[in-house]
Parts: sequence; structure tokens; C-alpha cells
Amino acid sequence: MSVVSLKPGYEFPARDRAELFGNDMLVYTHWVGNLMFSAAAAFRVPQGMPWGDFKANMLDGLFGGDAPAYRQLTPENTRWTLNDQEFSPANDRSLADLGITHKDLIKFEQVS
Amino acid sequence: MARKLGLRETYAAMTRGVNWTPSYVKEEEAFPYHQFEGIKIHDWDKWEDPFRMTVDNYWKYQSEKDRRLYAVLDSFSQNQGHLNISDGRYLNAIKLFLQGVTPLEYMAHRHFMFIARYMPGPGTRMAALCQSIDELRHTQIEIHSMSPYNKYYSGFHSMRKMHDRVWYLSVPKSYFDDAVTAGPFEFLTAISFSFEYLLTNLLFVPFMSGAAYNGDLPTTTFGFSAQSDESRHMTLGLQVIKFLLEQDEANVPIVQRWLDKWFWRGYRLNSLVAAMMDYMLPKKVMSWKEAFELYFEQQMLDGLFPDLARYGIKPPMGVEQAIKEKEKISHETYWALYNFGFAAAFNTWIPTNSELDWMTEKYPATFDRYYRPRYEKAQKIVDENGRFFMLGLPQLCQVCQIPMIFTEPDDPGKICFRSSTYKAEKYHFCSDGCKQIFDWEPEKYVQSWLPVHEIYKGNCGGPSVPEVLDWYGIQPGDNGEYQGSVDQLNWASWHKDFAPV
Ligand SMILES: [Fe+2]
Ligand SMILES: [Fe+2]
Repeated sequence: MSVVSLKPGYEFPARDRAELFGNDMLVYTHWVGNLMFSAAAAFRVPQGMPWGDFKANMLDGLFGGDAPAYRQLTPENTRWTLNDQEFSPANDRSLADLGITHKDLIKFEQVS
Repeated sequence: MARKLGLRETYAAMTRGVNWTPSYVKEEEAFPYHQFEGIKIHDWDKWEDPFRMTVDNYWKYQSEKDRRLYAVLDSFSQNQGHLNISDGRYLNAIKLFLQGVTPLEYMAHRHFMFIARYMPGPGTRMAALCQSIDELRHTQIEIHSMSPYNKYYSGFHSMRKMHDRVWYLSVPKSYFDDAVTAGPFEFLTAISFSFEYLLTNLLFVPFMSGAAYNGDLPTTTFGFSAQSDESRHMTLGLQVIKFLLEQDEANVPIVQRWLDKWFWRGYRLNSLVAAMMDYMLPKKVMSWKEAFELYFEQQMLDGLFPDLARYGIKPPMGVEQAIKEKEKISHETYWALYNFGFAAAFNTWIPTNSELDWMTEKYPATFDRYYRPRYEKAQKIVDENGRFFMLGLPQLCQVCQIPMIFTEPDDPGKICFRSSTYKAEKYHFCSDGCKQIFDWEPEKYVQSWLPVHEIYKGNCGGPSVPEVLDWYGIQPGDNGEYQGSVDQLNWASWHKDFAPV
């Protein structure tokens, strides 16, 4: 059975919908297995930003806060996922090109 | 001369006796809000008044309590009582209470006044009116009890502004906003039953006994002053739920849904209390895990729910997960506060060695394996003259608004991510419980004012951390590390004559 406690016609636009961010979007990034960082980080980024810039300007600064662990990461030993699907970032491609959309969740993990 | 009425007669005259049926307007114009939720009430007179409080009794009793409270507050201030608390760190628990809980008392006052106007049953209206006045008094005496600290310590100065703006305070704020924007019966189920009955001991007892253990006389005295009101509110909560369940069988699934939702909402809110209990009290009362076992598992699950089973009510959604999480949530929550302490209106710190050992003893299954290593690493950074912060903004849960810090029920090493898509927008949740609450009413939670997203939309004073802190009302010293903070340096200088050499 249905339980409805909202009046009929109760409807509002989503407060953080994609269009409000224009050519930018929100993206979340989580370092799997390193809970020195208690949660995934949220970023506002231009959709056209190259992956290499996103990593150098945003991820490196934040996750480099745990320097000894971050230094151990190399392209070879790091596994990336986008919304839990295998994902291969490329430095010169834009976030939008790589298929990243508003409020997507990127995870990375040291695998060896 | 007219005969004086007895208590019972006075009460009946005051509620039922002065009730009338409107004749200038239609019944549904005078009371427009009590039907759209689908709750069926056949006989409002079946409402058993849990406390037959009359106005003259109420004033007499409350003014006596107030007199005692203000006498204590006066002597506390005159005698520099703040110097006698256990440690300067303790007051961070009280800052959290003042910023997070006191504004909720005021919201409770406002909405019980709404219930007192709009419920058709006179007994219900009178009970709500009394509680509304109680809550206003709680707001007032909490502010008065805690204000003596404002003179000497940081973080006490802008509670009202902070409550509306600061990221971690959106957790209690959004919880109550969710309740007051629901229908009146859902509000009563949410606040009177789920909060005041199911979870109140988990909030109230740790704070008040924590205050007593740590030499905080004002808060302890306030606690005593509010205690008799709290027991009236608890009884009202139980009365509400039984009344709804007895009036019509069709109410049962509606009430069950609300219990499922509001247990989980209230339980998630309590993770801040869990962090406070285990980490912010220099003298510990009991661990969160012990409090949860006593006040929730024993008193509610074993005590109350067997009793509600005869109406067809089951223990709420998420109970099994909450039981598993009792090993974890205080640690995961405090670690997040430590991570983002640069933006909090209280100080955070690494527990002392003996406190870390206390956690090992209280949490043998998880602490040494999952949580202690983080503090050791953070301590190493301190030893090298640093301080570990997570210098960014966290992803938040769309429903409880807590950063997405909670781990999978069976794996303390793995963050729990849940998501839903609604009308082509994605939403993220910290747990199955929060996801379920969203999926039941997405229309409501797509409107969540999420502090992190609001910062990124430019609604919080500007893009930089100092601009946001300024907009939050956080002044230098309110935030960040306790060691070396204004409060810690003051505390040390006020006590240097007593320090061991
Ligand atoms: Fe209260
Ligand atoms: Fe949540």
C-alpha cells in the first residue's frame, strides 16, 4: 500500500540540478582503502577541463595531504573506476570526453 | 462563594470544558491540516491525557525550578566556576550542544504551538501547548546556563547564525526542518515518539551525566530542571503512538513507515552525540556502545517493541545495521570532525594515550585495527609540527547531510556508497536507510540545502575558506586544533599555579 504524506502536486525543482552549474559540474573522488580521508571529496570542475589538470590541480593537492601514501601511487599500480565501472583516464582528454557527468563518483585505489 | 474545583475537574474544564464546535466557519476550515496524511481518528475523547497539568500548577512548579536554576547560575559566575571543570577540552561538547540542540528546542516550541492550534482534539491541543511552553523555557535556560562560558571561551558567541549556516549543523537543522514540514501526525510521530521517546535517553543522559562528571554545574542544573519536562514529553510520545494505533487499523502501516523513517533519521543525528561521548568528555561516563545497548537495545528493542507488536508494529527499519554500527559510528564521526576541524566552530584534538587505551578496551573488535592507526599517523604529523586536515570539502548524504563517512555494515574498512537517480539527477546516500527514505519521498529531498553544494554554488560568502568561515560566523580560535588554541592557552595560564612541576 502507498503511504503519502505529501500533498498532491507537491513538486519542486532539484536544488543542485546540473543546469545551475552551467559549464561546470560537481564530481566526487574517493581514495579506496585510505580512510585518513574520512569521505569522498567534492569538487566543482569545468566539464572541459583536461584530466591531467584535474588531477594535478585538484586531486594531488587534496590527497597529497597524506604524502607518504600518495607518493607510492603510480599510473601502473592505481586502479580507477567511474561510478564503479572500470575507467581509464587520459591526461589530455577532457572530463566530459571521458564520460564524466554531474555528480559522478570517481574512485581510485592502489592495487599492488 | 463558588466551590473550588479539584485538580481533575479543573483539568476537564480547561480542556474539554472550554472546547467548542465552530459555527462561523466549517470544521475543515478551522482545522485544515489533520487529514491529508491519511490518519483516521474516530474519537478524540479517547485521547488519555498523560499528565493532567493545570495552568496554575504549571506556573508554580516551573517558577520554583527556575528560581533554583538562576541561584546556581549566579553563584557559578561569581565564584569563577568555569575554572573547576575537568579540562578546557570538555566545553567543546557544550559548544556542540548549544549550536546544534538549543535551536532545535526553539523549533520544537514553534511547532508544538502549531499543533496546539490545529489539532481538533482538545486534549491533544492542551498537551501540545504545555510542551510548547516547556520547549521555549528549555531554549531560554540552556542559553542562560551556557552563556557564563561565553565570556572566557571561544565558540559560544553566534549559535543561532551558525545553526543556519555551518556544515555539520545542517545535520540537526535539516532533521527538524524535515519534521516541521511534514503533516501534524508525522511531526508527532517524529518528534514526540521517535525523538522524545525512542532516542531521547541516548541524547539527554550522556550530555547531562557528562556535565556532572566533568564539573559543569550550569549544564547539570539545567538538566535537572528539564528532566521532569522530559518525562512528560516521553509519556506524551508513547500516548501519541498508542492513540494513533488504537483509533484505526488503517493507521498502522502509515505509522510503521514514519517509525522506519524517523528512527533512522534520529539515529543518524545521534552519531554526533556518539562522537561527543567517546571523544569530547575528558572524564568518560560510558561508551556510546554501552549507552546504545542500555538505552536502545534493552529499553526499546526488548522493552517497548514487544509491547507494540500487538498492534502489528515491527522494530524500525535499520535496527540490525544500527546494532552493527555501535562499534564504529563514534570513531567514524569524530574522525570526520578532526578531518574538517578547520571549518568547525569548536576545537578537535588527538585523544591522549590513556583515552586511546580506553577506546581499545571499550571497542576491542574495531578500535586497534581500524581507528587507532589513523591517530598514530596524525600524531606523527603533529610531531613534525603539522596538523592533518582533509583540505577540501566532503561529499554529503542527500538525506542525513552527514559527510559520506560511514562504512559498510560488515566492513569498517570500506565506505558505504548508495545512490538513486530521480528525474535524470543523481543522488548519493550514506546508507540503505537514507536511500530508502529518499526513494519514498524524493520530491522532498531533492530540495536539500547541502552545505557543500551551496558553497560551490557561491551562496556562502565566497569561494575561499576564510570567506566561508566569515559567513559562518566563525572567528579565529573557534575552529581548528585544540592544542595551542586560544582556549587551551588560556586554560593553561589560568591553571599554571596548580600544574604539577
Ligand atoms: Fe526540550
Ligand atoms: Fe545519510
